[in-house]
Amino acid sequence: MPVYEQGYEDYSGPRRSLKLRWLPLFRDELTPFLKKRRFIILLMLALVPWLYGIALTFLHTQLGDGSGMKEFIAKLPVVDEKLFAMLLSNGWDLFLLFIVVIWVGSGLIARDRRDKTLEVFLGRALSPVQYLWAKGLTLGLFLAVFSLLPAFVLVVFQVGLTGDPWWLISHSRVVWGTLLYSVLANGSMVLFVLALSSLSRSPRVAGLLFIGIVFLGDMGCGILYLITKSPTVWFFSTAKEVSILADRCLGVPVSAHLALSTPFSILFFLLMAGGGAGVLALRFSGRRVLR
Amino acid sequence: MIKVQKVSKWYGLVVGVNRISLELEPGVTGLLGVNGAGKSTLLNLMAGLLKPSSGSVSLDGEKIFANPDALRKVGYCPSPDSLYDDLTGVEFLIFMGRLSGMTRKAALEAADRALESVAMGEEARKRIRSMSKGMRQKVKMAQAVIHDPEVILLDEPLNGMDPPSRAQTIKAIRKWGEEGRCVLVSSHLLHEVESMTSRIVLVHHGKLLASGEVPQVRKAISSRPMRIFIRVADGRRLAVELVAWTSVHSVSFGKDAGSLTVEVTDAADFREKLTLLLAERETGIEILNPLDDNLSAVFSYLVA
Repeated sequence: MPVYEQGYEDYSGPRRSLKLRWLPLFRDELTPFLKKRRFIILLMLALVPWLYGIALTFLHTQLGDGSGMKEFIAKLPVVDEKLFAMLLSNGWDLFLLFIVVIWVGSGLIARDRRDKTLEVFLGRALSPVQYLWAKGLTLGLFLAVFSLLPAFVLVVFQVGLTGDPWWLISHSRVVWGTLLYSVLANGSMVLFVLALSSLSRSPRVAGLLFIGIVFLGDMGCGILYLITKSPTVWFFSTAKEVSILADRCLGVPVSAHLALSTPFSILFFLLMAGGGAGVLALRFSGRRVLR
Repeated sequence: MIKVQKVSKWYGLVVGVNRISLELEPGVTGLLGVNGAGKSTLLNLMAGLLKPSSGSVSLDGEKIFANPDALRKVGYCPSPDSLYDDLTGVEFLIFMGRLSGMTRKAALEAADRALESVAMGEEARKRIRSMSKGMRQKVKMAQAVIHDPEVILLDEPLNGMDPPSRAQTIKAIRKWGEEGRCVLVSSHLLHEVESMTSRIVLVHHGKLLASGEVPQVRKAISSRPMRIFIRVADGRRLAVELVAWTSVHSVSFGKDAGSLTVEVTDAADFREKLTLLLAERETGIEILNPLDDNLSAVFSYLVA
């Protein structure tokens, strides 16, 4: 046995708690997107429908009385749960949301698999859960721009312009319903996309998988509905389920042709989230994802 | 320090590593084996990246897999390029330091130290995308040591390096070993492993073939007589004496009568008798050189 110097000493400087090790990874994921002008424009475009809500608030509160537009304004929708449900699941935002999911989500794990950086990350004192949390939070934060953030701004505008804090009490469902919708829809979407991203080394393939599942699912449901006229077939349509979920969370009656029972809708998102979590658990528990 | 106990890893029906047990001590150990022997799988198991199908890998008594406390003490340099091309070398190292829990300032200082240890200077400020293969290898090695790990696992660290870089890297690896860290280096380049250490772990078809100091391993290969070259003034006379010894398997002459190659079955007995012979009379032996007491011979005998 050779004699060694034994001069080595463990790093003794300040060290972040193990629980917060994911923070640099989260920041590293987030920053490049925030530096992309096209991406920021895309996020801004998502706010356009919500400007309609702000405009309605403005019209009702500032020009409602004695402006000569009273009759016109009275015909306009009021800012309530129904408007929030409509804004949360409007087609424009859903389209942009899918683009963001593909743009950000498809590469979250696939890029690390392609660049082989996943081995370096998981070889450090960073658990797979922390790794996935950092990745998921990145996408979740961007998805919040489509729901939580504008909804919060609209609530602030409504309360601020009416000067009536009681509006918040009488429409409390707007707050908790939006929150519930965001957690369910965005959370399951994040888990689903992370799972898809973990299946490939190519962000493009993961993105195509997502497009395939979502759009082919919608198309298939549309065709089935034409044939059967049964609302049950919309069960596999992501866009329709998002719309149903928004209505259910905000307590708005669901349109007749989408009138699936609530358990069906919940089951859809549970399947999405559970399936995603299951795939991730399988891929990461024995580290099969590294192969 | 790091202990591998009866570890197996199966990929479906394919066995990657088959009931391997070994212990790594402070210093440098070479991990040898042909392509597909299971070297990278073994390193991945030791780095906590793969869960053993059976058996366990532990560091200071703690299991490594899914144990951040143990992983904190391990530095791993994978074989493929594992870098973010858009970052500079320094930025990547700071990122890795921060993932290891350091503050930005501490990570920057640690990055400088790690780069210095792999003999990399200003080149590290370039974007990784524009770096040569050798430079990328150095950045990868620096990220493995940025958090001052006790155990350093290096998978083919010399790949793609030019001769000066190889020399610098070998020097760095030896230094880490001399500091008391456990360093396990996998490589195909036997002479370079030999220049780092005489301690080896040899795997083949997922099994552990041999581990220990090269001379000890060579000694243990009893099926192959040890070959010794002797240059002597009167080869014929010495050959007559040698063939009578039980420890000598054969004696053959080289280009001239003064060059002998002796195949020895019992090296200890041969050494003892030769010492007595040298004490008794003047034999005129000029050179006595073991021909296959080296890593290359050990490798070919065990793997071929």
